[in-house]
Amino acid sequence: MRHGAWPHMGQIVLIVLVLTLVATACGQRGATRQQQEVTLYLDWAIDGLHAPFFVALKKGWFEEAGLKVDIQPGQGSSDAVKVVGSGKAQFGFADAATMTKGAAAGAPVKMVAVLVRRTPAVFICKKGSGITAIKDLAGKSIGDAPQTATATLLPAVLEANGSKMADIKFVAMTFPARVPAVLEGKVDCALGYAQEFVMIRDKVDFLPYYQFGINSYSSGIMVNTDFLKNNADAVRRFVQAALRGHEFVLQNAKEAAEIAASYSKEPQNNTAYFIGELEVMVPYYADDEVTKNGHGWMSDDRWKITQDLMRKYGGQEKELALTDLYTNEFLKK
Amino acid sequence: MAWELLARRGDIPTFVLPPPSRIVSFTLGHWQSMLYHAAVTIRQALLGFLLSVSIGIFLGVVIVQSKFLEEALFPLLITSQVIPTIAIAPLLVLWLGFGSAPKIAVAFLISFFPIVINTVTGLKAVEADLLYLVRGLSATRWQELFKVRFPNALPYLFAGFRVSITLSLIGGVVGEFVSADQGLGFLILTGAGRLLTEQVFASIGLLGLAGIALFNLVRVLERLILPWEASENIG
Repeated sequence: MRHGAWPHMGQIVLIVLVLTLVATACGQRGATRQQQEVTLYLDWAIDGLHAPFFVALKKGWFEEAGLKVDIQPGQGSSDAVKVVGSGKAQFGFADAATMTKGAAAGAPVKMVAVLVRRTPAVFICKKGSGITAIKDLAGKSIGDAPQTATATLLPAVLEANGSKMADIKFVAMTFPARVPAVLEGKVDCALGYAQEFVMIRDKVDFLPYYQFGINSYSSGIMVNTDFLKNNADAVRRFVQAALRGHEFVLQNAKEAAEIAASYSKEPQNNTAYFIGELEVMVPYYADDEVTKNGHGWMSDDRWKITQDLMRKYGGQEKELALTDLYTNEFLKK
Repeated sequence: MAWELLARRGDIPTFVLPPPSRIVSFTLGHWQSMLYHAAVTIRQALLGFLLSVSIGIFLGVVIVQSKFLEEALFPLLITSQVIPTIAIAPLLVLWLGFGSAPKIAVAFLISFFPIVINTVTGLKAVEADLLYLVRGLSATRWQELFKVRFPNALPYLFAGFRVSITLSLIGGVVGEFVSADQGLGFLILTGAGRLLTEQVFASIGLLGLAGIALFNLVRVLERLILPWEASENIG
């Protein structure tokens, strides 16, 4: 190498340093102008209950909030808790009780708004069965897939009404077999979530768990707590946009269902199904706490009930402080 | 035929076992969407298969050429096959994200082993006389590999490909069962959840057709490359 033909070491280091500083500065300026990319992981394939998020996406409310939201379908609330806990998704939509169990097992998650305020768990019994209360279930056969949340809480709803598991006959079956089993009379009742049974509303009677003493919260927005530590403002903006979507859904079920269906890649148009789901969900979106404090708001009382249920019936071992499980701080504008 | 009659007699409710006529009409009625989802799954399976072919053959060659590596690699390979993929798949999603990558990875994991085994078997199953001949002519180990072992192993390789391509389709679907928003596996799962049994069976039907098509693709390739062997093979 000829002397002077190439910059020597010191000069190279200086150039590299300057370039790095410039790049970082540019990068930071760029980031604040760009949208912050976040992922929302759902508890299932795109459903009517996810409409608030798709409305916020379609109407540009997330974009206004400086967020580029990628919405991913999931495989159950446990799956969502695992994925958000891993940090792969920053936000998730999952059941509060399932989230509580996951958090107690170490998942760094916290709920920042609850949308489905009561558990949608229901008994479905063939119309004309005459079963209108839990005591009517004595001696009856009840079918469900054994590992579901509804089966897990079955002893809870029985005991809340003076019954016990020994009073009924639990029939284990696969998830898709429940509805045929009830409609064909193979079991007296089956368990599931209210919105699953939209298509057979006219063929079955519903006994909602919440009307018989189970007062846990259900699905809401959860956030990875490590993400929350450094991005509190982004969390606030996300929650605000999502709540705006939620309020829109409550007023415009049909349009909301159409928007959600437009994002689904399933072959059939699910609009009618989603509208049905939203109709079924109406009582689950409202309660006294909402009337007093607005949507998304959560209370210590109901969270205590939720955690206690999981500790008594759900196999949760550790008890967490309620402040570790939820916060209302992002609900105010 | 029997299926159609059985389903129509009314004994079996449509949401448990729909008659084939309804499955076909569902498929035709949503053919664009069904084809789209089929293409997604097939693409992921094929990419997994191509990975299996390249990495599988590479590992097979390595094992044949080095006794040390054979003993080091085999336990690892067997372990990779014994661990249920359904347990690894969620981890793959965590590492590789929500797109096609984890599905391709699962397809690869499920389908590469037969190619390794068949490559090793094929490369080793050379007539001893042939090897003595070329060694007598001072062939290096690598010349021996490419000029004698490899051509001899081709029928074995293709047998491995035939098994592997069907496995890669299964792998792609398993990957979708774990996390997906499209594809035939996604349709099967969501269809089952929403009691859309026609969708489930239509997807299964398309999966079967895809499997047959891919299998035959390998057979056609084999016929082109090894015309003297292919006629002797049944499947």
